[in-house]
Amino acid sequence: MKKDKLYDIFLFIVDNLIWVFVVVALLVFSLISKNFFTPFNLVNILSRVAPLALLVIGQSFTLITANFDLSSESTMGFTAMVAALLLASQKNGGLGLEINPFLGILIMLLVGGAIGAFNGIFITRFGMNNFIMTVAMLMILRGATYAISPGKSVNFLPPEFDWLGGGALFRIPSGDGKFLAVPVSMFFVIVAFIVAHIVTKYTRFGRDMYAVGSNRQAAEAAGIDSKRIVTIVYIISGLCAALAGLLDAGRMDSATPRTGAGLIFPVQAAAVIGGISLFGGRGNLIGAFGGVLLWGILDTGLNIAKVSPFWIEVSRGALLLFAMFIDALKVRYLRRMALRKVLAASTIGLKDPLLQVE
Amino acid sequence: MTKGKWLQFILDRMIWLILILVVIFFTIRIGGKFLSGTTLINVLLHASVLGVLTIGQTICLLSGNFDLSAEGIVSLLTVLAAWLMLPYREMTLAQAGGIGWELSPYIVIPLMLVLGTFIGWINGILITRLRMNNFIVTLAMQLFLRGIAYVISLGAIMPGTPKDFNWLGGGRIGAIPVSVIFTLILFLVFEFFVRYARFGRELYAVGANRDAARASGFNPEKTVTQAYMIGGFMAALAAWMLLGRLEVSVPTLGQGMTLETVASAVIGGVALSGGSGSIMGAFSGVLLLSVVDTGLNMMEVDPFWITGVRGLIILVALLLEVQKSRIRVDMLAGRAKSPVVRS
Repeated sequence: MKKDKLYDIFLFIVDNLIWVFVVVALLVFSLISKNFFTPFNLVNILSRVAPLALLVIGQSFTLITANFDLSSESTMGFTAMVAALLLASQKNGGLGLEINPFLGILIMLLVGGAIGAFNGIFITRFGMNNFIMTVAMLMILRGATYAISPGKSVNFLPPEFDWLGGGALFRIPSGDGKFLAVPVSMFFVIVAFIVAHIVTKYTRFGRDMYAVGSNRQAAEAAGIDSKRIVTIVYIISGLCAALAGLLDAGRMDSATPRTGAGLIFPVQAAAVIGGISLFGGRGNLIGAFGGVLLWGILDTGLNIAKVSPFWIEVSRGALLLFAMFIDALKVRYLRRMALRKVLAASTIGLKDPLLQVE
Repeated sequence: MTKGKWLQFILDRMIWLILILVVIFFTIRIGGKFLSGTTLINVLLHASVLGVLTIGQTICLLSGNFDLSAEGIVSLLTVLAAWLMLPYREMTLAQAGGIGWELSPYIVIPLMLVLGTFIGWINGILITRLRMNNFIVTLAMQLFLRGIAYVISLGAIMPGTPKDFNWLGGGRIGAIPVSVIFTLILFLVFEFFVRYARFGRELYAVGANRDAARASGFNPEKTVTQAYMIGGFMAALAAWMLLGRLEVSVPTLGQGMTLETVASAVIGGVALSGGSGSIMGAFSGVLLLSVVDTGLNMMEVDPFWITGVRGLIILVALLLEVQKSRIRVDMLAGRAKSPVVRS
C-alpha cells in the first residue's frame, strides 16, 4: 500500500515536471535580469509564441494518435498567403480582390481543413506512411506558397483580419503615461488550450484518440473506427495550422513566402518537452501548454540575458535531449511498476491479474 | 513466369522506368544538350554527396530507424575541419580563419571519420540502451551539432582549405571527378556488403522484426548501434567531400539534406518501417532526384517550384510503394481481397 502511494506521488511529480521547469526558468531569468519579470515582457512572451502554440495543439492531437504531422508549418504559411493575396490591395502585393476579411478567414480555415483531410485520407485509406506523407506535403505546400506569392511579402491587411493576432483586448495604464496593451492572441491561446484539453480528456472522441494511439489493433477490436479518428485528427491539425497562420499574419500585418518556415522543430520539441509521447497515447494538452511556455521563456530570457544566439541553438538541442531522457526513464519505470502489479495480483490470487493493471 | 510474377518484376523496377521517362521528357524539352556528357557528369556530381549520405541513411532505415543527425554531423565536421586546418585570421566581413593550429589534412581527415563514427555510436547507445525514440534523438542531435558548428564558427565562413584536403571533393581523374568515382564504388561496395555479409542479414532481420531477430539469436541492440556508426561514418565522408568541393566552410552546409536522403531512399523502394529495400534501389532514387534537379535547373525553372516538384515525386513514389505491397499481399493470399498493408 505504502509503495503504491509513493508510486502515485512519483508519477504525479514526473507528469507535472514541466511546471517545475517553468517556475525554475522564470525564477532564474528574473534573478539574472531585472528587465525580465516585467508585465510588459511576460505578456510579450505569450503573444510571441501564439502561432507556435496553435501548431503545438494540432501536433499534440496527431501525436496522441501516434501520427506525425510535419506539414503543419507549410499549411500555416500557405493559408496565410492565400488569405493575404485575397485581402490585400494590388499595390501591396495582393490580387486586388480585397474581399471581406471574415470571408478571408473562412477560406483560410477551409483550406487548412482540406489540407488536413487530404493528409488524413491518404494516410488512412491509402496506407501511406504518415511521416513521409506529411514531409511530402511540407515540400509541396512550401513550393506552392512561393509559387502563388508575388515573390515578396504581402502587406497591409484589413484591421478586422489582424485583430486576433495583433489586436489588444484592453489597455492598462502603466503609470508613466504609457499603456500596457493586453493582446487578444494571449487569451485566444489560453482558451484554445482549455478547449483542446476538454476535447481530449472529457469527450468520447478524446478517449478514442488515446485508445488508437496506445494500441491501434486493440482499439479497432473494441469497435473504434481508427481511420475516422485519425482523419479527423489531421483535419483538426490543419485547422490549427490555419489559425496559427491567422495569428502570425495578423501580428505581422503581412504574409511572406517564408511564414512558418522552420517552425516544425520547435513544435515537436515543445510538445515532447510538455510530456506528449511520440509513441502515442500519452501526454496531455496542459503539459503541452507548459512546453510552449518553457520554450517562449527560454527564448526571451536567453535573449534578454544577451546569450549568443548560437548558444541558444545548442541549449535547445540539449533541452530536447534531456526531455527525451526523462520520458524514456518514465516509460521504463511505468513498465516495471505495471509488471510488479501483475505479479503481486497473481500471488494474492485475484481472478484475472491483468484486470488490475491500469 | 506467370502474369503476377511479371507484374511483380516490373513493379520492382518501376523506378528505372520512371527515370527513363523523365530523361525522355527533359530531352524533348531541352534538346540534345541534355544528353551530353557534361550533363551526365553534372547529374553524378549532384548525386555524389547526396548519395554518400543516402547510403548511411538507407542502412539505418533498413534496421528500422531514422538517422536525422547526418546533416548535423556534416555541418559540425566541415566547420571543425576548416577551423583546425586554416591559419588564424581576424573576422572580417563574416569571413574568418581557423584557430591557428594549422593541422595537416592527414590528421584532420582521420579525426573527422572517427568523430563521425563516434557521434553515430552515441546515437545508437541513446536509442538502444536508453530506449529513446530514434526520430527525436537524432533530430535533437542534429540541432545540437549544428549549434556547436555555429558556436565554433560564430556564423562566419572559413575559405581556403588546403589542396591535400580537397582532392576527394574537387579533384578530377581525366574529365571525371574523383567524388563521382568514389561514390559509385561506395554504392557497389555497400550493395555487396549489405547483400552478402553477415551484417547485412542481421540488418534485414532486425529491421523486419526485432523480436523475431532476437529470438533467433541476433543482437538487435548491437546491429542498430553499428548501423548508426556506419551512418555517422558516411556523414563524415560526405562532409570531407563537400568541404573539398567548395573549399570553404559555411555553418549552414548540409541543411535540408536529411529530407532529401530519406526521400531518395523511399523513392528507391526502401521501406521506412525497416527490413526491406536495397542500396542500389536507393541509388536509383538519388539518381532520379539529381536528374530532376539538373533538368529543371537547365530549363531555368524557378527554384521554389523544384521543391514542390520533389514533394510530388515523393508522393507518387510512396503511392507506388504502397500499391506494390498490396499486390504482393494479394498474390500471397491467393488473390483474395486483402486489407491495406500498413507500416
